[in-house]
Amino acid sequence: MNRRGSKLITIAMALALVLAACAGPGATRGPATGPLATAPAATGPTLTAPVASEPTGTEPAGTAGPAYEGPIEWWHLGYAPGGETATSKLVDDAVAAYEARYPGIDITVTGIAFSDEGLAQLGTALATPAGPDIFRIASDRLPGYAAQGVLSPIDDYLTDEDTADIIPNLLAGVEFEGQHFAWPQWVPPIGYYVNNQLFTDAELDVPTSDWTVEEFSQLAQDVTGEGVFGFATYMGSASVNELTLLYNQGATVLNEGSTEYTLNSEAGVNGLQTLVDLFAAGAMPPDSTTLALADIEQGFIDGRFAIMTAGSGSITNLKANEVEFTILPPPIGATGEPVTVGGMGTYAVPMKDDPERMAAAHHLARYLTSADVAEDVPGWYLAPGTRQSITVSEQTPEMAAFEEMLPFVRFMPLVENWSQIDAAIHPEIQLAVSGQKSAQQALDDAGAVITPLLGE
Amino acid sequence: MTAIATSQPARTPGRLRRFWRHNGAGYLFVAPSLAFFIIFIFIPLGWSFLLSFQDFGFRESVFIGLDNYVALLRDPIFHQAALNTVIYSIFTVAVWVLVAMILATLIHPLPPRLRTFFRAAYYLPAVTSAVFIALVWKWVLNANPWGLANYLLSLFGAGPVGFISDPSPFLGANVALWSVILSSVLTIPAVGVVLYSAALAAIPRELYEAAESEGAGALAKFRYITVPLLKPVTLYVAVIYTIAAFEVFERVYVMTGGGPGYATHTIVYLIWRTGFRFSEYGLASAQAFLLFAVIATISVIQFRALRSDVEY
Repeated sequence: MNRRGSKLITIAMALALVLAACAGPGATRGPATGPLATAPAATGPTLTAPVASEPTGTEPAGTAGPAYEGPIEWWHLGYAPGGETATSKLVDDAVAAYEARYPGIDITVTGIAFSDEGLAQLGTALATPAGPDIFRIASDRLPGYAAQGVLSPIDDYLTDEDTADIIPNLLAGVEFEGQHFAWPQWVPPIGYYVNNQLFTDAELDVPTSDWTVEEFSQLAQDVTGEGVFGFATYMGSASVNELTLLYNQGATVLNEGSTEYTLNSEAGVNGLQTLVDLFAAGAMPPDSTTLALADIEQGFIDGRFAIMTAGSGSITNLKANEVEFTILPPPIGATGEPVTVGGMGTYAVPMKDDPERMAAAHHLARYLTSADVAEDVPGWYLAPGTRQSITVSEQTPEMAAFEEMLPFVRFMPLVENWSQIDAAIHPEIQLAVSGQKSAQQALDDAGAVITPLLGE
Repeated sequence: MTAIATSQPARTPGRLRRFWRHNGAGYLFVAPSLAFFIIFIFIPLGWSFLLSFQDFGFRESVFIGLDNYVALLRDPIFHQAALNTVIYSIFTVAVWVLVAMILATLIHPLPPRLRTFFRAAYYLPAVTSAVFIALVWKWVLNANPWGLANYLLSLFGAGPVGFISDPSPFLGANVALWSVILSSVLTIPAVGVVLYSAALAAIPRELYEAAESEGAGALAKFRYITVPLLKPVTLYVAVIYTIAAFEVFERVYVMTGGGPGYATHTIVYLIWRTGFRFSEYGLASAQAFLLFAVIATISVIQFRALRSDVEY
C-alpha cells in the first residue's frame, strides 16, 4: 500500500472513532448494552419476577420441586473443579445432593476467582443474557447489581416459612429500595481472636466477652513484647475489620437513610483514636497500614500477633495449625454492647428471559441457604447461618462465639456505590494510624470524597 | 473514449492478479497476525475509547460526553497518582538507562564465555515473574525488625525503617514511594543490558584505537565514543523503559496495595481500581486514554530530543 493510501486509511479510522464517540446515546452503547438493548421491560430493577413463575398461595415455590427440567449454571467464587479445595468439595456435595432430590436438574458449577478480577468477570457475564443462573455474592455488592436491574428479587419466592425462619435483621441486610435481592446464607461477623499461649507467656489472663475498649487497649500493650505485637487488624479496602473499633463506639459510615456521611462523628473519631494510640504505643506491627489479610492470620499462627480481627473462616486454618485460641466479640465501647460489623454471604439470581429456569434457580438458592443443605452436606455452613433453624455450632463448637454476636452485627449500608465509599475510608484510616493526619482530619477527608458520591 | 471505457474492466483483474502473484504470499503470512491484532487489540481499543465517553452500566450505558475526562482532571486522587507515576518514571528510567549502559560497557571487554555468562545472568530478571520479584522486595523491605533491609540496618545500630508502610514526606515524595522506586532501580534492567551489549559489539574497534593513539583515557573514550554512538539504542531503551515505568502496576499491587493512604497509587493501579473494583469502566477507559496521551507525548519528545543518524 502506498504512503498516501495508508495516510487516508488512518485519517478515516480516526474520524470514524471520533464520530462514533460524538454520536447520540443510542449509537454509543458499550459492549454490555448491545445484546440486551431490546430486552423486555421485565429487566427493570423495580419489576417483580414473571407471573408464570410466581408461587401460588399455600404451595410455595420453595417447598415443591421446580417445574423446570434442564441445565442450571451456578457461578461460585473460589470454586475449583474436582473438589480441589474444601469449599469446592462442599459445593460438589451440595450439587450431588440437590440433583438427587430433583433429578430433572443438571447443575454445572463454574469457579471464578475470589478477587476483584473475578467479580469483574461476573459483572461482564451479568451484562449478557448468557450469564449464570445463580451466583454467590457478598451482600454489599447487591445494590450495585440491583440498581441496574440485573437481579431477580426473591420476594415472590419467599414463603411464610422462610420469612419466619430468617432472622429479621438479616433479611433486611439484602433489602434495597423495598425489595429483597438475594437469599441470605450466612453472616461472618468480625471477631477478636486471642492467642491463648501468648497471653499465658505474658502471665496475663485471657479476657472474656464482656471486655471493654480500655481493657482491650491495656491488654494489647501489656502482651506486646520481644517479637510479639499485641494487636493486628486489616486496614485495606473491601473489608470492615478495623471499623469494629469505630462501630462499637456508636459510629456508622452513613446515617440511617444512607443520605449523609456520619463516620466523622465524635464516636467515630474516638474509635479511630484507639487504633492510632495503639499503633503509636508500639502495640501494633509497624507495617500495619499495608499488612495483607493473609499475613495477619499467618502472624497470629506464628505467634507474632496476640490479638487479631477476623471472620469465622479463620477457625479451620487455626485449628489445622494447632493454635490455641479464644474468640471474643469486639470490646465494648460507648454503645454498651458488644457491637460488631459483618458482611453477609448470599445467593443471587439474575434476571432471565426464561421464567421457569429463573424460578428453578431461586429454588436452588433457597435450598443452598436452608437447613436442608446443612442436613445433606455436613459442614456446609462455614459461618453462622441466617436462619433460626440452622445451628452451626453443633458441628463446629468454636462457631458459638460468632452465633452469639449475631444480634449485635451492624452491616455496612446498602448503597449502589459502596465500593467507592469503602475505598475512600481505608486509605484515610491508614494515614491517621501512620500519624500523617489526626483522626478527625482523616475521617473528614474521607467524607469529602464520600459526600459527593451520595448525591449521585 | 469508448475504447478506454471497455478496456478498463479487463485491465483491473489483470492488475489484481499480478499484485496477488507478487504480494499474495506475504499478505497470507501476515493475515493471522493482522487478524489477531484487529480482533484482540484494535477493536477493544476502539471500544474502550467509546466507553471513555460513557457512564458504564451492566446492561445500559449512557453517553456523557467528556464528563469522565473532566471528572478526572478534578480528582485529587488522580492528581496524586499522576504525580507518583511521574516521579517513579523519571527516576527509574534515568537509573535503568544509566545502569544498563554501564553494565554493558563493563561486560563488553570480557572474554566471550564470561560475557555470555553475564549477559545471561543479567537477563534473568526479564524471565522471572514480576509478581515474584515484587514479593521478594516486599519481604526485603518489610518494616518489621526481621525484614532483611531492617536487619542489615540494625547491624549498624540504625532502623527499623517503615520502608513500604511509611507515607511520611521525604525528598519531594514519600518514604513508601521511594522504597518502591528503590526496589525497581535495584532490579537489573535486563533488556537494556542485552541491547547495549549488541550495540557495543557493532562499534568499530578502530575508533577506540585512534582515540588511544591520541592519548584518550577510558573515561574519555566512554564519553566521546561510546555514549554518542549508542545514542540510537539509548533512544529506544529510554522509550521502552518510559512506557514500562508509566505502566507500573504489579510492583505497587503486590508491595503496598497503593497505600499507605494514596502514597503509592499510580495511574495504572488507579485504572485497575476504577475498572475492576468499582466497575466504572467508562472512567477507567478515560484514565487509560489520558495515560496513553501522556506516554505518546513523552515518546515523541524523546524521539525528537535523541534523534540522530549515527553511521559507522
